[in-house]
Amino acid sequence: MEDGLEPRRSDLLRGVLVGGGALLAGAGAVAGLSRLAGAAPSAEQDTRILNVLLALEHVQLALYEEALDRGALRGDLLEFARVAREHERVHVDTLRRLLGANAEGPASFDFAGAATDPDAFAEAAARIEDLSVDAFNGQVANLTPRARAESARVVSVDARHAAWVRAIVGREPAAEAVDPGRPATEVARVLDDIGFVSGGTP
Amino acid sequence: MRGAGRRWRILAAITLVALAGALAAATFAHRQGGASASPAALPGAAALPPPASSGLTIPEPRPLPDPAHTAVWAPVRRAVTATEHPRAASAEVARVEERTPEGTTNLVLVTGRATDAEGLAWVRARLPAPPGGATGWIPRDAVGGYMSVDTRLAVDRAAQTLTLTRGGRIVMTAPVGVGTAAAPTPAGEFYVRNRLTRYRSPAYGPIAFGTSARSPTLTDWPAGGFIGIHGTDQPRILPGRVSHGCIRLRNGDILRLAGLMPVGTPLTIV
Amino acid sequence: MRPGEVDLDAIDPSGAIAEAAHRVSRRAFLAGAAGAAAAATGLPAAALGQESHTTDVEILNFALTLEYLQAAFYTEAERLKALGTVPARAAKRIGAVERAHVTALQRALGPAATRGPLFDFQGATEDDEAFLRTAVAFEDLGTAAYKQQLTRISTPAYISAAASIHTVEARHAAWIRFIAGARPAVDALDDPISDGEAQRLVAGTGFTRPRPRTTARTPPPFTG
Repeated sequence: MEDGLEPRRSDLLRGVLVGGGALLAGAGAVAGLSRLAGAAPSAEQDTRILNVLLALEHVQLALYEEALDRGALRGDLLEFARVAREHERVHVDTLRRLLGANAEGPASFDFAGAATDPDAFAEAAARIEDLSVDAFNGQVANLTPRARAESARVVSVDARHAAWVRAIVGREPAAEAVDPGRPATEVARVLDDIGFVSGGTP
Repeated sequence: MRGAGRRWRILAAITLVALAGALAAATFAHRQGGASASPAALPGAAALPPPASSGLTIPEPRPLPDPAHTAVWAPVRRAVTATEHPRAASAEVARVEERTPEGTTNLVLVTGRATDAEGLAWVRARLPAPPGGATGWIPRDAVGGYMSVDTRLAVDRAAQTLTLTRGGRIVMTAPVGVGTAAAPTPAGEFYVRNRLTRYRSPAYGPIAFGTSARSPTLTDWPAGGFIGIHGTDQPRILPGRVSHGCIRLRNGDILRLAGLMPVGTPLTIV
Repeated sequence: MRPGEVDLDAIDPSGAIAEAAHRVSRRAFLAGAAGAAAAATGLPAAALGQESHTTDVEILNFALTLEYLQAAFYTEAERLKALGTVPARAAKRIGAVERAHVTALQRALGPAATRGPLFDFQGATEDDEAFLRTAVAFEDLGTAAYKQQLTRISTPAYISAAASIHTVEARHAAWIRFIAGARPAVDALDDPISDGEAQRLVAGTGFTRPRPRTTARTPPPFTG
């Protein structure tokens, strides 16, 4: 169903006046400014970014493994954890393959109640899956096309996981119209606050 | 010798305490995600560049506007006979053609839906039929995709005025000519069916709209005797009972109306 | 919903989707180098952004076409009020988001924004089962299409933008699958979809229609 009115000329012009149509105007100069100097994609930068993404996948995999080991989950949450664990194994493998010899190993983790209490587990899973989305969306334009393409396939499934686990516990699965991405330092801060990482990479 | 040893022990103790304090402070800052320390959880995070800003501004999601003023129409996909009830074995109301006499796609106003005993979907439609319009049921697959409008047109024959509303608010009024007693403009619930432009016929002004309304008296009129809304080459006789049923506006007014009113707009004539 | 050999004109008579997708995929084909790069990396050629001469305007217009499809679908479902409580709520919430996406893309594209085709959902917005089946397909498609876009767009600001919508579509896909009783995330890795394949999928639904011709140039035959 759509509205029958033709867009009026004034509506079209308004779009241009508020900065719409930037693409037509040759956005190159404008857009070039939005990727700061020194952030141009490179193999070295890919390594740094992908290791951050890999670290987040390690956290996710470890959470699902520990929760399944503890045997405290039932029903939909149990099924979610089983499926998600398999996915995260592939995610870790995918990113490790991209990184080759530069892949960093997992840190050590302490999940405390998040692995034993179903409510805490669901909350933790949603938050750390979100962190993959935040980190990737923050760095997506700084990756080379190949790294971008492969990690997008990983993060897409992380986003599904986040909505899935929220749906299971009756929370709004997708509350926002946009996932804007966060600076990596902010993602790190959130992860620190959550407190699962108990030790650095050996 | 004993004094020197004691001094060393004190010095060692002080050093140990200082070291312990430094370690504790470092750990505390660590746990707090201290700004200057590299975060423990993501050691590489500090070395990453900031995100590129997004080229799209996505507005806050908003609910749909109030449907109270929304009307729905649909194009006719195939000619069909409308029935009184939403089932095949039901009295016939009127034939619904695929095209209008002007060659445009025929439309119906959709005012309801139902599913019959066999699970087939039907829609209730406002139809072009004399004298005051008609309502009938047609199969859902006889019409195409739904279109919505939030405009409404009202014509008052006694006051000889036309009023257009959008979302319930008046956006335009104009004086009109309506039909004479011998060839009246019918009262009833209708809708705007098409728009005609770039013809040469000064009596109709620059633009004309076809409606689903039909003359109750000019039943032999070619092309069905439909009522139109159009301009005029005799503006001075408006407002008045001057036409053969059509709703006539001054040319400036019909052009204004054309900029505000989409095809499919419901029309009420009193 | 994968179609066999079909006459494109018959199933996409408005031509709008074909038009948008054709410009994108034809240029990629002409680029040629994408194919060579694909052989080297093992990634499908469509996923590689380099060497493609497709403009960002064309890519974003195709994204806009898919957003029109989703927005129109959920909006109609909400307006017709024929769905059960749970699907109706999803239609309302997701529809509002898709409409916001349409607005964002229209504003960015300005006068270059495609007008989009007309849709006839033929009952898919009026029945729970048909609605959920269609919504699952649309959201999975949207996720795959944005994944494709974000690797092909060349302007960093628009890469960011496409990525920021891509994960929202993935969340929608999981949500609607959950409601439908399907597994919200089936594969460990989600694949992109080429614009040509996306266009074929949409055309295969039969939902796109030519705009009804409601204007004519004939002299008015009305009573006068």
